[in-house]
Amino acid sequence: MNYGNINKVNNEIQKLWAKGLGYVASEHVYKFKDYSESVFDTQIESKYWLAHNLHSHVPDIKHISVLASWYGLVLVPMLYHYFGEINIDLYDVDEYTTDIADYIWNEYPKVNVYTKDVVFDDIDYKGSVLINTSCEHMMDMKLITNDHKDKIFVLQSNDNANVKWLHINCAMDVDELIKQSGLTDIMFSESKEIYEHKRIMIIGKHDAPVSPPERAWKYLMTHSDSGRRPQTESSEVANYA
Amino acid sequence: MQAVSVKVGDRYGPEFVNQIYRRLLSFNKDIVYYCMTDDRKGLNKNIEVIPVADEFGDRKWWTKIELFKPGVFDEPTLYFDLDCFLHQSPWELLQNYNKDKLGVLKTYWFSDDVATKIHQCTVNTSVMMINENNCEPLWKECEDNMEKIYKSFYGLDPWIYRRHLNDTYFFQPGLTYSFKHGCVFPNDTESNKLRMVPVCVFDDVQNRDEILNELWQYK
Repeated sequence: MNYGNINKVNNEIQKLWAKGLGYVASEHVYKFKDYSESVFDTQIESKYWLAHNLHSHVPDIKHISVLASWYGLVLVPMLYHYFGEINIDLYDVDEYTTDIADYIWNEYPKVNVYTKDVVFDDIDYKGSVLINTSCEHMMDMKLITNDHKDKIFVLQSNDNANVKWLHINCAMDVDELIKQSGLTDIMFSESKEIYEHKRIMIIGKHDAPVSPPERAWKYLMTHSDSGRRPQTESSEVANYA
Repeated sequence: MQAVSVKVGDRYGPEFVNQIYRRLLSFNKDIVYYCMTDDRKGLNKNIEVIPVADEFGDRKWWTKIELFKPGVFDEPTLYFDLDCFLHQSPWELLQNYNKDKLGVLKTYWFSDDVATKIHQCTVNTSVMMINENNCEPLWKECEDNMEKIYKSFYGLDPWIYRRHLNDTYFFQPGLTYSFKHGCVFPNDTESNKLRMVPVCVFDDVQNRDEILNELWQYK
């Protein structure tokens, strides 16, 4: 695939969608509405927004896992446009969705599709970046980020609570999504209006664990009257550490 | 014979509870009917009240998980949502009773394809069969992961379908129907039609209260 030009991405999305369409028609006709919605302009805009900003903040990525990925029809080509043909793992709980996605991506050896429940299954995610563009569909993401403190998370949610059955845990603004995520080192946070609703995105990770010497230094700073670094015996630092 | 309903908050008045009790009495004078509620005001004095707190915000139907607590009932007990109507005796629902599993409705009014691919769920908890300890796995998961469950599932139906299908059994087809969607696919799917079938569920029916009021007038 050549994604040198963003218009080519749209062409790729169209080709992939057309490829899957025949399979949906023959094997999963009841998924047609769902499949059609996966390439709405709102999807294009929000995934472009994601890939562009992820690349700005984390330009060198080799492997990405996508939670609640749906068909990956828009997101994968957008990521390939910015990062080249990297490894991308798609996780979705719905077996019909992943069957369709398996067909769409069957000629892309670096795209793997898994039928997994990201809420309840214990998953060994590969790669340095985890993406979830459906945070409004599930529990607070802190329940996942806390188990993967070495990963960078890209999270999208929205404030549209009117989608009955599905939009269960919306976020009204960036602060709420950050709180839901439990992330402490936020590289990017923004919201934008997309089709009458606010879409929210954050990119971040957990603060790096504090190393023992640094912990000792912080301890001494907070216990020093002057607030300046006190003169201490190196053994004192070592003992605390 | 035992039955139970749950009423929390002010979405349903006491008349919904009393009318189900009245219908149950017409089929069995010895019925013991429980109401799990945060407000007993207006309930028929012969209804056995089980106090429960209103803890689930605008999705009060999650209070139904209190039914799953082991030991609440000491014998097979049929649960009915308050917007059900009992045309006939519901005890036929016990004909394939499995003492170790939770009995639930299957959405027989949809084809399996429509149920699983569009609604992602074949379970309907408007009517259930509960006994002393047939819901232990469900109760345990609620105790361990309630926040995760509540924030990941709109209601009990998709939760049970995705997490506890092996802990449930379905009632036989033809004993319950959906006023909006019909009784059994593909032969009996006419919409918005009353049937002489034991139990009617009124999920997603806009003029539900009006229809129920009319049905309640019949002796």
